[in-house]
Amino acid sequence: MAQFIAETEQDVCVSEFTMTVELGKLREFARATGYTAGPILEEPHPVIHPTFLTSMVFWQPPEAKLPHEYLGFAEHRILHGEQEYIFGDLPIRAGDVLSVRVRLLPIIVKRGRRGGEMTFGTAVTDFRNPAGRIVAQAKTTIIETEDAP
Amino acid sequence: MSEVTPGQRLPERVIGPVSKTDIIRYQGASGDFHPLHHDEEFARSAGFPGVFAVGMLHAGYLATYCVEQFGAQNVRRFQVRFREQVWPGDTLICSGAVSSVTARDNGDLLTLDLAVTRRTGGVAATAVVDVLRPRVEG
Repeated sequence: MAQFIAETEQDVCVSEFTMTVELGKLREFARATGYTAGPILEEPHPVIHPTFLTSMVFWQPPEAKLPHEYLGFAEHRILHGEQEYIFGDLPIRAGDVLSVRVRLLPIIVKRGRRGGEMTFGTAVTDFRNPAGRIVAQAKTTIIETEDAP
Repeated sequence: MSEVTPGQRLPERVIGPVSKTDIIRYQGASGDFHPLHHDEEFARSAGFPGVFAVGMLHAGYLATYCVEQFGAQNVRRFQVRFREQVWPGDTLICSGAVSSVTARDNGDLLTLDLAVTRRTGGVAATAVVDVLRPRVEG
């Protein structure tokens, strides 16, 4: 089973904030991703949809930059390579208040198939419950290509 | 689903056609307001023929596909890779299979290999998902 990625001294923390998991927003998100019936639409404190935590951007302080902005990636040359969510055994439910910490891992440069350089930037976001326990983690990998994709 | 074995295919789910309204609805729900996905002029000036879906929209469809079959409380890992863009008018097909089953104290951990495919094109995204299938007492 996937393990949470521990923070290291090489990581750079780019923002920290609090997020409330709101029932209405969770229902809106579920409907927007093809969910038509079930606990999310019927129960008062349903477990979140697996990709719902992407909406954490609504809670970020206004001055916080997006990972690619922090990394200085050129907007017209970035691709969203991969997104991963890891959940612990304590489910996140509507009504929960989470502490969110976004950190950047050291960047990696690789040579692409066509010989150009590709720069991989990874942001890891830790979601903690009020007891300080990590309940979920998000990992976003963005790629800056040498030329426009 | 009673007995689960590696290689077992999941029932397919058809979604769409994906409309521009579906795309902007997702943008509003998720907070990603990048104009590339709703502003035609912006999309063309960036070199695209028009607006296309946010990748996390069809990632979301795949996550819903999992939740419908296994329950949101049982998802332990959801990892998605983006392959091809999804365009307004695309019909998408969610499909997948169980790639492994590992016994745990509290049940079985299933690893699923999923894909969301454009009916008129290729694979838009693939996902590897770990879901817990709790042991039913009785």
